[in-house]
Amino acid sequence: MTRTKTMNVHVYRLLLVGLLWVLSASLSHAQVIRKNIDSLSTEELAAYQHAIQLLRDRSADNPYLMDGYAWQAWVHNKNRVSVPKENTLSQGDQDPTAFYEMAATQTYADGSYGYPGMCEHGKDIFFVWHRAQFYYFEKVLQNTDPEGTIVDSRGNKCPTAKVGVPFWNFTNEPSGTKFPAIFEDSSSVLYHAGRNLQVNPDYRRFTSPYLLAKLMQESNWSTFGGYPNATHGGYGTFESQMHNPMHTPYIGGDMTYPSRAAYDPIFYSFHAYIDYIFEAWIQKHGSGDITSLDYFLRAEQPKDFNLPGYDPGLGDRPNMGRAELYLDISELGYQYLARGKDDFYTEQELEGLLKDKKGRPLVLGKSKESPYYRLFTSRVSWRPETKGQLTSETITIRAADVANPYSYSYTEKDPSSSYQIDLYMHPVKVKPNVSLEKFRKRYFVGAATAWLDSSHAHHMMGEHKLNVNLTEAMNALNQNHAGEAYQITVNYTKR
Amino acid sequence: MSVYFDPDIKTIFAPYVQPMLAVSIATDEGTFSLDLSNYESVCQLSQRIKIAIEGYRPETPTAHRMPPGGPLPDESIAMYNEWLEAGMPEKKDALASDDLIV
Repeated sequence: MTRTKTMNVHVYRLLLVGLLWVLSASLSHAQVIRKNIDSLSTEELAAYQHAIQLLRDRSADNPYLMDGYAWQAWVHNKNRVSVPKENTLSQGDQDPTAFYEMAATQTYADGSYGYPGMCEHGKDIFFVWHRAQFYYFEKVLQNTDPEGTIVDSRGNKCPTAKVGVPFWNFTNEPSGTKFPAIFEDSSSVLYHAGRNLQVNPDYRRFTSPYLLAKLMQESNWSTFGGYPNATHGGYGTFESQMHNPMHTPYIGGDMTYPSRAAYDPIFYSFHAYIDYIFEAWIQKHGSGDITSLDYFLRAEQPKDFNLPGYDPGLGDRPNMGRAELYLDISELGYQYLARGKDDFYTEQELEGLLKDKKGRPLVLGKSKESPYYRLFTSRVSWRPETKGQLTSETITIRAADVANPYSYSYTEKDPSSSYQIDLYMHPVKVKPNVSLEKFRKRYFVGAATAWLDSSHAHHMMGEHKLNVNLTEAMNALNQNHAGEAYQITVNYTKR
Repeated sequence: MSVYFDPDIKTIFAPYVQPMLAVSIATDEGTFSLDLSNYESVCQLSQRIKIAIEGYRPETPTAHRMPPGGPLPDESIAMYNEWLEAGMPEKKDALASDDLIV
């Protein structure tokens, strides 16, 4: 399908960009602009790389500095680190990631414990926790060399005062083989060995921009953004259907593991785009229904950058303040500048996608291709798995709505690594066979991935639940099959 | 027979003290360590603990369950709940805690 822009979208975009600029001009604190990494000027890219390199240089001399790369990466998931009174470690010729891991596992008799952070996943503060993490990370970057007077270990210097974390729109065709070209340039500080350049070389992009546009239409915050206290399986649709499969299998390497993900600099550009999506959702639906905004966001960050109004609350562990501090990005000192290809598909474009060759809407259970199959697979290399462990159960087709939703809940007994479930709803008389494309195309209703690793010690987790909201699919089947016995078949694969 | 933190509840949680010290618990009051061997710490987060240890039951909504490897015996969960209902007494003849956070 050819992507076309309507006049309304152009007008909306221009107004929005104009509004952002007016807002930024009217605010007293400095605003930086986060842009698509492929559209940075030479100077902007050089400043970002210089700032990252200075963070690396700091950690090479002392991995326990809060404004160094190691500590900032630990914020994502090294909750407790022994910190010496005086550091004696230095990176030397070691690989930086191996050095950071070694430093994080030392125990110092004369030291004290630091608590870099515990990322929030599988709950409603997923988006806002990462926003807070990035607020501090960006401030650290900007303050590495504001005036451009420090030469980094690569011999570069340039002002970093206006550095914004550039985003990677991973729903677009990559400028490199699988990632933005700069992340594949082995001479750049943004290069990171171990990403999946060789694994699945046919993958070009993985999570569909159409699926994203569909998810963005969801006005129910919990469905989109996640559930309080990890109830109902915790994950919102965005996290389980787009964020998680991008970590693994698409990017791979350290990004496979929650406890190591931020060692790879692509983590920051990947999540900057996710923050852009969060902001776009707020602009579209408002922030009034976002839950758990009174929760404190756990992490130990440089105190100099605490926001006005910061209050640590009670308790003996450090935090970034309450979630509610992070709703208004102009207060955080940044704006997004997104152009053309970073727009989301419109409702009309989605409708156009979900039609057969004769222009008729795709109907689940009736058309040869399920509308969900088309949403998940259009323009990307992601496909449902053709092998795995199948389980089926019989259900009765019924009406469903927000008050009476239909969700499938999968329980994983071994949550030590990531896993994916693909779901199919089909008549009882149809034998489930995921090796057949005909079956997959016709009866596919959704997929979800849980992103886990054995070191991700958020909780003493014995089992993991992964829920997929299938209310819309159930309703679609109810149009023609009300009261009929159907089967829901789950194909489970370990990642 | 009455249930006390020391020794009843403390004994149930003893195997899980060390791993939980590495965790920070986020709440709407602040961020807390959880020391399962410490009376005040357990009292502060007593309702969180209740949800987690009952999390294996099919009807409970939480995705975060404890302890790892399978649920506590039913009698241990019942003993914990009994202790909560009794006002979380620390030990025989001690006063009940009023230090509840969540």
